[in-house]
Amino acid sequence: MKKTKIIKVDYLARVEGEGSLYLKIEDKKLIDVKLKIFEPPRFFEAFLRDRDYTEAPDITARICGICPVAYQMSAVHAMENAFGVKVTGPLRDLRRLIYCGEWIESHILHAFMLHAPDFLGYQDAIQIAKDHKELIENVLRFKKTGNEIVALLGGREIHPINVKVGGFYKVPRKEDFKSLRENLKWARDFAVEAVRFVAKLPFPDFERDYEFVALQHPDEYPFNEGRVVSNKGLNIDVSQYDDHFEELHVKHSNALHSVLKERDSYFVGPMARYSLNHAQLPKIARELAKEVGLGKTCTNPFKSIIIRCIESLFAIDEALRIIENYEMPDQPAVTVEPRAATGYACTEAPRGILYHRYQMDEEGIIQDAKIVPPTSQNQKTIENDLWAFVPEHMDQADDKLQWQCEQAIRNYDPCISCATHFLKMDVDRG
Amino acid sequence: MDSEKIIVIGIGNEFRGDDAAGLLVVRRLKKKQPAGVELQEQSGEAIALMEAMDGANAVILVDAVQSGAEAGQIHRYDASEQAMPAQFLRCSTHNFSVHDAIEMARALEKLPSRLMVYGIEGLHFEHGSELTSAVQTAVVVAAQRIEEELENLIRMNTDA
Repeated sequence: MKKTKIIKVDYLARVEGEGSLYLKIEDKKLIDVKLKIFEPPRFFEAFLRDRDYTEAPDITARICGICPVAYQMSAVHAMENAFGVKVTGPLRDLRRLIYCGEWIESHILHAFMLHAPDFLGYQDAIQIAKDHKELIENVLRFKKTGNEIVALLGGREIHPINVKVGGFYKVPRKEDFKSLRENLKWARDFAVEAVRFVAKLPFPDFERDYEFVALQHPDEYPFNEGRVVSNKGLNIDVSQYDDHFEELHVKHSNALHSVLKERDSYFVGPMARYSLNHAQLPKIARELAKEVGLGKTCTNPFKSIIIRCIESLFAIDEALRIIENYEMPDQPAVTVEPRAATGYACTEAPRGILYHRYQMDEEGIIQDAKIVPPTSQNQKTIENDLWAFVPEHMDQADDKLQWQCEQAIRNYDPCISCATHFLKMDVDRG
Repeated sequence: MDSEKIIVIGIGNEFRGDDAAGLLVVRRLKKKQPAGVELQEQSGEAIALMEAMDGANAVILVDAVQSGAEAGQIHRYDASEQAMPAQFLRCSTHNFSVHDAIEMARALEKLPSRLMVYGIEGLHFEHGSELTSAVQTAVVVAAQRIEEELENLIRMNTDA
């Protein structure tokens, strides 16, 4: 008689949103992996139709409470691409700055509140706080500097409302950055400590040959602009995205699985960004990476927690650089004239590239919208990681195996509220 | 800690049917704007919530919940007295959740001295779904109950 084992997690904790995992093991052989994610952003794509192009940044910002800036940035850049508008100088810098704020908030929240408990053997961050009060207080203070940036430029911390196609409704004066600058200096020191702390965590020995996909820009670590490139030869303009990527329906999940048409699954997010753009990191980040033993590329997804902290350090450093050089622009936005056109944009959300495409009529009314969040792009790669990881760890007790599977999923910081809602896990061993 | 500060925080997502309940309660309260009370709307992101509560003397949180009870049922917890049940308030889209925010604040000794949590049982949480009619009624009832509770809190503050 076959011995079947099923591991089921009906409700995956510590991922942004909810989803479920189902593993089926028969006679010590893994025979099924299903990461189920429900409710893709199709509602928003439909909701955007027949609305004015100016509404897209604020509507799409509502898709996710963790990365509203990413949605706003992809929306404004896609619209500007459609209408032939170029935003440069201080306005462009301010957009990079607000993105720094979101990376700081999102990365530190995931690294310490959601992912670190897996490595440290705590049930959750509340248990860490009981044993390491000062660490968690510092993490919260660090995150607050990110909030402060988003609030200063976005008008408020959650669902920022100050971003518009062409620029901002209002821009800060140079003196508005005064207290932020001091807080960022403290945060830079803490980011260094955070990198050293997470680099000492115990990492499973696990590497795969991924196709990393990220933006790449000749002069900077990418946020809003660049070509879409990979380590396996992809190098395209964002407008060619649909020629190279497709979203496939899979039976077990309502979210779509993204694949590269000419190959297969691919990897987006901090580890892809880092591996493709290491040379663009500031010296302090490169040196620290080297100090903690991280190479110029990384293929162990469990180490993404280190990269999130490295990227946080980059974001702090970049924010300081922008603030130092900032001169208030004469106008908070450039003029935008709508026309019948299609616009494309990818920007680097904390979790990876976020693709928006909009088609407008001559009045600037949205006729069609397409949104591909990073989590749906990573979903197939997460399943493939589990296909590789579970057979090597098959002999462990169910609860240990389940723990490590959840940890493997969290390597991707899946924002299931963007890709969906309600994730529920199964290991089936009969 | 500001010994006078009273905050009511409505949590939710207005694009997700009954998940909007907490926001709607706060919007009802805004029409009357009870004196000395700060009214806030939040998405449920836990750290922002901890920051919002920080420094207040009394906080009332209102959120939609999904505990298996009948839609429209109003739960009330005194979170200053007891730990929140882990499964409560888990329909928040952000999984470092409202529950986690409260328990994290407790671990860091940052909990307001009075913290009441109202949970309105919802049924439909899908993007674009309508508010269930029982939830609509519950919003009105919860707003009334909170108003009464606020009167008591304000009286306690004045007496103190």
